[in-house]
Amino acid sequence: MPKLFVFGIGGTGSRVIRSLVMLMAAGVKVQNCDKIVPIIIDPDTQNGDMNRTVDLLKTYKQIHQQLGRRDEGFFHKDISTLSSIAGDGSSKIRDSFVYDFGGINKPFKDHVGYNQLDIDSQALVDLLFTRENLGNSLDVGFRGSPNVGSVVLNEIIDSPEMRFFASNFQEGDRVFFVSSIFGGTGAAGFPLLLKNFKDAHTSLPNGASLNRALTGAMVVLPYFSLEQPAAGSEADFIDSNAFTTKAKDALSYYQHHLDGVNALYYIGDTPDKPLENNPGRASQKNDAHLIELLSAMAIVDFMDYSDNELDNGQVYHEFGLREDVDQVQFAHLDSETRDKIAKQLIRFHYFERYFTMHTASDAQAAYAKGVDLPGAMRNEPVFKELNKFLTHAEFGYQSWLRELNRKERTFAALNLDETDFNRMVSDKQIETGLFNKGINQNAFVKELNKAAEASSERNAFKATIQAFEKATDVLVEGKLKYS
Amino acid sequence: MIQNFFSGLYELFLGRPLPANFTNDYREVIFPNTGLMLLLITLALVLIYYYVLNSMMSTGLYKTKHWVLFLVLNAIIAFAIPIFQVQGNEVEVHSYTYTFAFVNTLYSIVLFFVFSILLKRGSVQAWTTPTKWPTKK
Repeated sequence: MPKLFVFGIGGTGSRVIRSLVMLMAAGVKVQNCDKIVPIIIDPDTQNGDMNRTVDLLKTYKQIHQQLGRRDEGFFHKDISTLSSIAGDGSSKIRDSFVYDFGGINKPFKDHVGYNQLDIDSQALVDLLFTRENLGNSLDVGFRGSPNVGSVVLNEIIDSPEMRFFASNFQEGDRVFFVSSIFGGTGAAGFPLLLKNFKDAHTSLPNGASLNRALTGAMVVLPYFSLEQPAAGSEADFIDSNAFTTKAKDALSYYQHHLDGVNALYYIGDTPDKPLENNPGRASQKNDAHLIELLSAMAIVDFMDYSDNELDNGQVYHEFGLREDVDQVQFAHLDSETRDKIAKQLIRFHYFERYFTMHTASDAQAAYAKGVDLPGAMRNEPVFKELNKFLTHAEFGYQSWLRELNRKERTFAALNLDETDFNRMVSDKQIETGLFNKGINQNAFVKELNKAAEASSERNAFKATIQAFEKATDVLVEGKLKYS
Repeated sequence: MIQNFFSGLYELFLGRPLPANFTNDYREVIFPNTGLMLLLITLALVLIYYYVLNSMMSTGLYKTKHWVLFLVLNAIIAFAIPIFQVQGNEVEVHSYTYTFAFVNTLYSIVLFFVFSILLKRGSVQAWTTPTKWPTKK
């Protein structure tokens, strides 16, 4: 079965993959592939955004492995590391979601051997790169400098990881790039990788398949700004005033040199309050943003198209809301987008709310007692992974949703702090009365018990997830009546 | 036959009914009536608990403590039945009557548990109450 390789390049790439993982956890369907292989490319090995995305991916993988292969439901899509796709343990590369840059921790100047160059070449390098470019250490990324990124990233094509990727690339597999156009790593990495994959004379194995591969890309235009340091400050920073200029430059380059992309997605927004200016390392840990969630939707959309539909030349997509609002709810999304994600996210949200708030007190409910859920929750490591996925302060679902709710434009479709199930979905609330309590703990337990009764599953984790899938489906359809 | 069955059942623990001049009233009327009422009321309460409150309705009364409440309710009724039966049949209330009520209460507990084990399988919400065993999966 075909695979989808998602190259998340730079900080934006990591953050979009974080949102993609949340969509996959909620059970959003990605068609035409049975496995997603995210490859994060970021030389900043301590980047906060990247590391929490990697932690999230690892947690998702553990949960998915326990649940096994399924066609639908929470965590149903297989997300694998590059090294695991060989399936026979023959890979010689590191088992990781992140491309291994092998610890480049020297200044760019040393990386290109500036001091060994003759005087004319040094003059050329001085022309192309600023003094800061040359002096900056590469282990924090390219600090918004695509000219540095394009040199360093060009070398990864000959790396064992890329050769392994190409060797395992099969006819029917697809490639998707996620990058920002206004930074350093993403802006440089996307066109560079694309050029190498689509080069008819590429040195990569399996070149013909790669050349023909259906390829999509999400190019994220500026959507945030960064605080500027105080005048006279020596602080290390990225100048976000240059984002638009850099985006325009890159777009004009794309216009003439971007060949081989079947579907190109653009998204951007006017920046809200400036973010803290952290050029790299662990401190670069930005709040999740609606733009990243919608960018992840581009991957879902790309995979919805059949091979034939994508083969008919290059198509361009832009994203628009039905209404220009600061607090985006499901009703503000176009019906096509809403149909793909709304019910799944609501169901997952109900699951997360109930599981974290009430399951511990359900020890005597049939769905829990039948599979000794309390004992399993105490002893089975996969329940700890699930708890991490839902509640971890750094990368969990709760923190993701809370972050999305913080920066305008906010994703305000689901109320994280609301404990009443009847009021959790912003654009659809359940009217209650004397004889209709809507969704409360009793109603939830009833549906969980019904679901558990209909299932023959004896594994506590699988049985619990299946019970929640069925129960939330019935509650969303029958009580919330979301359409 | 029913008279013999219930007389045998109660006299197993109580011995011959007292005062002696009411022995026949006990054997022919009070024991069978009490035994049949015990059976029917216990069955009705078990059915209400498992099939009305925990299948047709979602009352949230599936926990063991709720089951124990019904068991106690049934036991109180079971204690009251012999006393009402004795008084209703104009038989003298004797210490034997209270021992009889106590034995009937013990039978009600056993019966409630047995009916629960037999009938809980069909309940959606409470098939694991009071015990998971015997599991239906």
